[in-house]
Amino acid sequence: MQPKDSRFDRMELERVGTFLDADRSRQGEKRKQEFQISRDELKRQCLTTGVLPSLVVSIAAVPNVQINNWSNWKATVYPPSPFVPTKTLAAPWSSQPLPILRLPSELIIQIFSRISTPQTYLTLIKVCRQLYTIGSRSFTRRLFAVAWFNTYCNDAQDQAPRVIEYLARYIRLHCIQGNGDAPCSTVNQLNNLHTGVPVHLMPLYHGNTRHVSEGCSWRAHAFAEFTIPCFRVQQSELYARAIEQVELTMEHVAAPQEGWTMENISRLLEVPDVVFADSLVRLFHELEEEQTVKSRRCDILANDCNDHRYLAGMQLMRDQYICCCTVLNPTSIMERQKMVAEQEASDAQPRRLCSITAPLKFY
Amino acid sequence: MATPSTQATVKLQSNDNVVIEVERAIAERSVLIKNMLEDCGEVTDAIPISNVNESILRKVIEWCEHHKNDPVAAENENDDSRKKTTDIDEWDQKFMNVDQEMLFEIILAANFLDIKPLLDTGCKTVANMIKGKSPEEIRKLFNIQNDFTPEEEEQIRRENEWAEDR
Repeated sequence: MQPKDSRFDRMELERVGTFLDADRSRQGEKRKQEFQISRDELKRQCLTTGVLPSLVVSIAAVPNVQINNWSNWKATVYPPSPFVPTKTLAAPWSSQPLPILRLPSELIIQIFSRISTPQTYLTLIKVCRQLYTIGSRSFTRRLFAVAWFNTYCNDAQDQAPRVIEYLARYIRLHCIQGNGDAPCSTVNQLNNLHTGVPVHLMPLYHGNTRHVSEGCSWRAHAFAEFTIPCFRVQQSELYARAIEQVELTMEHVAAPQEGWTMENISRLLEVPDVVFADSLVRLFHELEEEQTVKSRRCDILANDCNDHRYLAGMQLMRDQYICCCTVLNPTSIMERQKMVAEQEASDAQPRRLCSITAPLKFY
Repeated sequence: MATPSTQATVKLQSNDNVVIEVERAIAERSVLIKNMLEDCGEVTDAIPISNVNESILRKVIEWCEHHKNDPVAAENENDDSRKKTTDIDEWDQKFMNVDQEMLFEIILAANFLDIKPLLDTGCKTVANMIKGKSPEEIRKLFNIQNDFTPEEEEQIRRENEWAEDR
């Protein structure tokens, strides 16, 4: 049925404009659109096709398109945007004063990755939900940590011992619900980002044969720490053996040829993370403040937990993150060896051992 | 093989239809334009830079002019390239000394045009603005509303508690 001529005489362009506006706003554009179409043309198009005037107007935007089937036209050819905003980027911002949040997420992530201190990172995620969401993504954290590592931690060979101590703190926190024999349901388990397999720290330990003359080596300290968190090592006995080996080799450790640097440690451990990096920052600050690294290490080795902020802190954290696994708590390497031996000798179902609930001790 | 000398200048057209003619070498600081020119060979028409308006485009070109002799980063550039580069060079600092709106537009343009060093400088500038500030100060700086509930704030504080001063 053909529309009557009178319909077009009453028709207002304004109404048609509203129609197209709805189209534009579906594309995220809300500007009012004006049309250039003559009434006669409109009439002619409608009379020849029988479609409603509002639809016809869209044709004006694509004058060169041959329209054969009007009823299908909208579905097959969408008119290109007939206007280009003059200031794509600036226009929305000038009226809405939140430019940083209007950046796409990938650029906000880029900003996160350029932050100079982990403290600032942690501050930024407290600002609002959007920043919290972006900053809490493991991708963002990892990007930041890698960048941070690369920027700040290249010449830290002599600081590596303390770095490891802090690394241990991080690992201890994040693995502290782990169990030596079985994966735990913890959300904090430290997994290799690529494989999903829990991080296994033994590589640091192997091949350390260089002699360290000054008293107890930092590595002994570090490894004693490493072994306490009780990662999910492939064989639970690795844990005990590792401690044994630490004792045996504490005087004979070797760094890689270039020395232990932040880079090769991080590469080995694969734990780049903002929280870890944060620990490192604090470490450096501490080093600056008190030039008493050696004596502090002696304190640690003396097991004087209450007088030592670090150990006391660890104790607290451990209490908070205590594992819900059924565990048996050896308090020393000797005790653990004895337990293992007893278990091996008996036919009973082996009980799982978890050293993390043991008091913090250095062997 | 196309040689850089085949075409001395290229025309860039901003989204507000202003055509700016620049040296090809300068325009090629943008990986987007560089690839486009490599793919298309000689381009006599103005290249439409549809996401960037004139003032920002001029600003970006200004940066490219100043940095036209900088070594171009390797193809497989990754975060290592940012090694030990926390500071922004003095010229860039002055260059970035613009209002927030302009700054974020530069970042967007650098991202669109794929000019990594400029993007890097822009992001670092923002990161430096944030440095040392409290969450409240950052909110004020960027006019951001605190949309956390007190409970959420407390939860976030707890999440990061262990990393706080001991």
